[in-house]
Amino acid sequence: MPIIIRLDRVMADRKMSLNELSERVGITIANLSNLKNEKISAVKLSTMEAICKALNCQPGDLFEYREE
Amino acid sequence: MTNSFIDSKFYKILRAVLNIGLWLAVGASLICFFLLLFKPEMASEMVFDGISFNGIDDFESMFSKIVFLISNDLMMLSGILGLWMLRNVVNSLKSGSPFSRDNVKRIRILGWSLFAMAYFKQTACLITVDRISQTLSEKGMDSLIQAQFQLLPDGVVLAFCVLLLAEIFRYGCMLQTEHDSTV
Repeated sequence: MPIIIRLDRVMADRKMSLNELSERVGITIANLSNLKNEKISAVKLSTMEAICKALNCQPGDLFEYREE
Repeated sequence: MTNSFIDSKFYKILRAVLNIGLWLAVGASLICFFLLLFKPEMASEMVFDGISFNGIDDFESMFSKIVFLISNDLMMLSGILGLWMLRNVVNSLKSGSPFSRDNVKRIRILGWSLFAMAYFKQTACLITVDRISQTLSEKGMDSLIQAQFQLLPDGVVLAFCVLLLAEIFRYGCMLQTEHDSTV
């Protein structure tokens, strides 16, 4: 998929573990891991809002479009 | 599927009925096939759709006998295939959600088997009526019973409903996949 998820990079910048993010966002580690590894096809706006709030970032920081 | 449904008495009875019914149908079909093949005189008494006929003459020609045997066997085979698919759909409920690609395929096969069954049954019925009218004509009652080919026999409507259900199921399966891959 041409959409690349940069969750791991933002998490590394904020020095936040998957476990901690999972607790703050309120979704399971398995789902967060799927999101990080691009194994999903859609993200709910409520999930995006919670992730952006927890990581203090913009949705644009988490996604990148790269032409194939 | 919810645990309450899987643990329910209704589900257990349904599974048992389908499992036993399938093997009974297989056994009955095999007995019927070999009886008609090796003991054709048994076919002088026929039970068709709950109506029994006695003292029917033998087949008019070898061709009509072969067509009857083939259509009868194919009708039984498609019935067994449909029953097998239904059993697999019911058994799959145990593993969780019924919205899987396998179940869509099974329901489609069930629909097509019902479709085929309707036409094979009609062919067997036409030959049976032909035999009965042959017997009756010897007694001077040749116009008492007649059969015509129907483009849309009864089972076809049911088959179309099942095929439509398969398409609805396919859409449900697509929604389920989309839901599962959304965080």
